Amino acid sequence: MNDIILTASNLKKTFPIHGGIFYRKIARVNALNGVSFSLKRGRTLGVVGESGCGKSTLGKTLLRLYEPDSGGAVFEGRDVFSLKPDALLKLRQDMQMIFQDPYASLNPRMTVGSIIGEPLNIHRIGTREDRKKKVEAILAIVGMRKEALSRYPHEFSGGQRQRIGIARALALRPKLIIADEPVSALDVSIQSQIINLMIELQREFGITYIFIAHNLAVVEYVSDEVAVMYLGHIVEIAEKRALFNRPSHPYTLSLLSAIPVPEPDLKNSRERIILKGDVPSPIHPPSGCPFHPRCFKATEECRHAMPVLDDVAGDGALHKVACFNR
Amino acid sequence: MTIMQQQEPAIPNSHSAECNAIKHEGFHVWRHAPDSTRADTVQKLIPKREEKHCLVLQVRNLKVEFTIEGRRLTAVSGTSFDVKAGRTTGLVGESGCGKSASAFAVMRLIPTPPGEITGGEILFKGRDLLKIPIEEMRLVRGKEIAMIFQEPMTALNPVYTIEHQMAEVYRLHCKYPMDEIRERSVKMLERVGIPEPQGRLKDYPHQLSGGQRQRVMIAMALSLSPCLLIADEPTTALDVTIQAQILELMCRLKEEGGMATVLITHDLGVVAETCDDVVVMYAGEILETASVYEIFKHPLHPYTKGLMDCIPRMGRTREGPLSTIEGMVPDLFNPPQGCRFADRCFKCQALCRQTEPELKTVVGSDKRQVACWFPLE
Repeated sequence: MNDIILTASNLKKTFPIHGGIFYRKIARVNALNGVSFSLKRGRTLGVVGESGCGKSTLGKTLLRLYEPDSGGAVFEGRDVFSLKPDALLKLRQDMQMIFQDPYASLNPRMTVGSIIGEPLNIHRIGTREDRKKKVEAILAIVGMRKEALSRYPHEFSGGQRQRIGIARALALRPKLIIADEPVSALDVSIQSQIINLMIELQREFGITYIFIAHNLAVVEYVSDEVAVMYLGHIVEIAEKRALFNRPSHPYTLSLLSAIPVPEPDLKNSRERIILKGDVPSPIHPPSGCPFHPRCFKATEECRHAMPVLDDVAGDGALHKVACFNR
Repeated sequence: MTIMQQQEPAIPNSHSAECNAIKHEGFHVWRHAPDSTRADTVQKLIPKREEKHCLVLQVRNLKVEFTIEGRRLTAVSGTSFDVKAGRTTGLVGESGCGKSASAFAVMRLIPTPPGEITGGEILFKGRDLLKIPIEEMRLVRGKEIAMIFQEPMTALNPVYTIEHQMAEVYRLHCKYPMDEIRERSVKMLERVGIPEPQGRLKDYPHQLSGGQRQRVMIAMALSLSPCLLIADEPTTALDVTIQAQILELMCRLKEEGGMATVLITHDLGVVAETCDDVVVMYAGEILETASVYEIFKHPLHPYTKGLMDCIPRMGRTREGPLSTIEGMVPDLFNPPQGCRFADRCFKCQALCRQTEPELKTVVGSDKRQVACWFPLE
């Protein structure tokens, strides 16, 4: 399983902020600051980080819903950012997205059948009859009944809507699905149903996932590899076990200790690192390592130089961290 | 401002036996000196440590209904629970289970119409809040019972400065002079850990980060040292590292003040870390109440067990699929006969579908209650 499906190299994306007279550009938000990773086929890369760390921008940039400022991404030998529109359309057959909010991401004026069938129409797959059969089959795969086809999204609960969103992403049998917080809007009992469904689909169709979330317990459960992002940088990326058992970056460490654990007995015994202050603004990121103002290990060096993502273990396993004091 | 200690009669009309014990105890009285004529409006009772287990709030058979498009929806159907001084009681459940509706009912903030409190009693220090006139209720809100909301950006008014909004609670309840209000506001902001509080007073809510806004909300809520704090999902909109800061702050303030807290959340991790007592709600009803240790170690209701099982836990290897609770929450417009969880329950039997189980104290336990015909062993 050493088959690389997607490589991102040094992705950078900034968003302009306009203001003042003549609506000039007055500042830039640095959403992605040189993100690189590669992803193996059939595996799941979990991307975690706090709000504003660039994890959603990463997902959308990889799908070329945003054009990056610089950097590249190669998906199955195709350079994502230099494709012509018709080739891009083809590429999107293989890359699909599941969105966070199942209320906002489904068109309330379309029936479930036409929502799931829309990607098939756009890509002109099969005849009308074929498409209809396909939509029915996909609906069954995500565990919904055929009667749902002629109903509208508002008639369904959050969990069922998320199933519809997944069905739409599945319609083209994509190779890669980017799931942006697919379960964070759902209740816990529904959340586990959706997670199970996604894992089952991966096993059945060999789908590769980029699973963006802020809930570390969910990411640990779903992922094979995990990337931790902070202010547009990947600060640590590793095999799941390595990351959760031997976190090397101080940010990963504090993130892990900040999660409330559902075991009251551990309440007092657990060592906790509580970070001071807030995430700095991505408009004026701090110099040097972006984490240094909140870091409990920061030294003079961290204030001036930006650490690069470097191998920790040296035993061949994936575990890279960007820190001078690991 | 001076802090004086003085013998005061205990809470009036206290029906609770537990409260009787402290009738002879002293209270700390905060008094705005030297103007003693204003003292009555200004004085603030802070319960002492000894009263830790005094009941601050007793909700009895509370019923909240909403009328939507001519149809009646029972959001809370006859819930009863107690909140003790110095303890944090967690109201846990999924969306639509009635946990927020219960809390809003305590503050009498249910929007009417469409909502209406159609029955029950809310005894706050022995006094039924549902029976007092609304003017009197306004004196209770903010002063004796305070509330913090989920989304601090929508709870703060964007067109007023932090100072203006913090001063409001003092203006309404105490009539302090301006400079004293400012002094107290600065002290409160300091207490909740906001750096440079002097400068922050002139800021508008949008100039603060999410975590800082929530700190301001907490500072406002605690300004008059309320006996009861209701926190409706206070950390749900925050990032984990900020959540950890806020939870630590709330725990610290609880230790300092001895006030009772009702924490509404759906996050079992937050419950485990902050609560002392837990009330599990489902479809408008209470299914189980217990101490936090008991409920996590040994849940009695199949729903509680199901909730605990379906959250992925850190540091465990993936062994098969996550367990789930099949099906969906029942339609509250037409609640099923019998137990409301019956359709999703793995222990469901014919009896469950016919008769609704009552919330009963568990035999052999101190205070645990469960509403189930066939509780787990």
